[in-house]
Amino acid sequence: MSRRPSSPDPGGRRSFADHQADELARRAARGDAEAFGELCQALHNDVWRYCWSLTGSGELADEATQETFLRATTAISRFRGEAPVRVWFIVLARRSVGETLRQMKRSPVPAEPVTMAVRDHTGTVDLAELIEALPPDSRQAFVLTQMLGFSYADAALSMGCPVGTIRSRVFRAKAELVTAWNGHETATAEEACE
Amino acid sequence: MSPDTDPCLATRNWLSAQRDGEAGNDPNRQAHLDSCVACTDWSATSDHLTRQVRLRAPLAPASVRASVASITLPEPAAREGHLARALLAFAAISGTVMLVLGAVGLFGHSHLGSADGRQAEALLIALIGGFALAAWRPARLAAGLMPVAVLAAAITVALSIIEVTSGDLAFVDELSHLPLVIGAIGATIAARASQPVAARAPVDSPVHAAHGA
Repeated sequence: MSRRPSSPDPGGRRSFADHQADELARRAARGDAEAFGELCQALHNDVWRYCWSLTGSGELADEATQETFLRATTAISRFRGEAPVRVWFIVLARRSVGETLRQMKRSPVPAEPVTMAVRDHTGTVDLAELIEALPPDSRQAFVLTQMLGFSYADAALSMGCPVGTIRSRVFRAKAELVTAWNGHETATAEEACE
Repeated sequence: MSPDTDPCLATRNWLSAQRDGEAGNDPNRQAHLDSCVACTDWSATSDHLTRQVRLRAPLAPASVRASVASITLPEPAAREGHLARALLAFAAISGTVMLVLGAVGLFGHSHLGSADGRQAEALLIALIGGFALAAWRPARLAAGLMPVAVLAAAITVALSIIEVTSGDLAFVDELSHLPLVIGAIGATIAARASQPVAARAPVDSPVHAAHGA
């Protein structure tokens, strides 16, 4: 499976919220400030999570998210609905992350790690740490599909690659997470034996 | 080892997509899954982890939410944008009409008879085409067109004033320059309206503050 998606909803799997967001974006593109505000509120978590997945830092994600919505104020007039607005924002966010990282090289800010603590019978594991350790492409594909709920087709549109590539990146991410999780359990068990 | 030769790898690959609703049922893979303890364990751990990831997906901090909420569409710029597009479209249409009327001898003078005249006409046609394109895509094209259009309009107006005051040309002849002037005004307004919000927002806005500006 290596087809590159071309329509906004190739598999017909997009949710009512996705269609609502697209409608808000079309209104915002015509200059409806209220619709733009609603759109920002609807998408700021998705954009922030994606920025975090790219930077591995909460602080940088904060900066890049603001930069993304700032850029959107002028760019939204060019939104034509050829791709879902969530994809459109993800592409904008990726550019903003690049710009934010360039700015940070000039004036770095202290990075604040994000935590996603999960307790199991052997102790506490920080899932955020495991996700941050994934290769960048797998991490992006994993966050888009598992945290943001993107279909593989929308994730492929966002990352500019074939659907088949997303499928293997997601699988690779899951496989590495399972290995890391099992490794943690083994290590914890060995520590307990000692 | 590739999925083609490793049944465990192939099954897990299929399982990953199937759990995300991106792959249908596969009796062969399902049969392997039912008989392989390692794959069953892998499946359980993978499902547990992805469920935890979905449940514990971090939220944007309140400060980001507040700062995003404070970002609004520049309303005046939107109005300016409409005005600019109208002016650019008017300049393109009226300029085209005047060029056509000039070419058939119904309005003003055609300058196509001389090399200099052809060059001037070509520049005018290019500018009128530019106005039409900028009316279509002001955010992308107006800023680039604006310096040339403003300079051409300013020089034309200055020369017209000299010619009209010295009596060399009638005022009505100078009307043919109106599309150029209107187009230059439209391009200027459109370029201003297309400026990034950061350049137009006050420096103490939440966004600037967050960026340490």
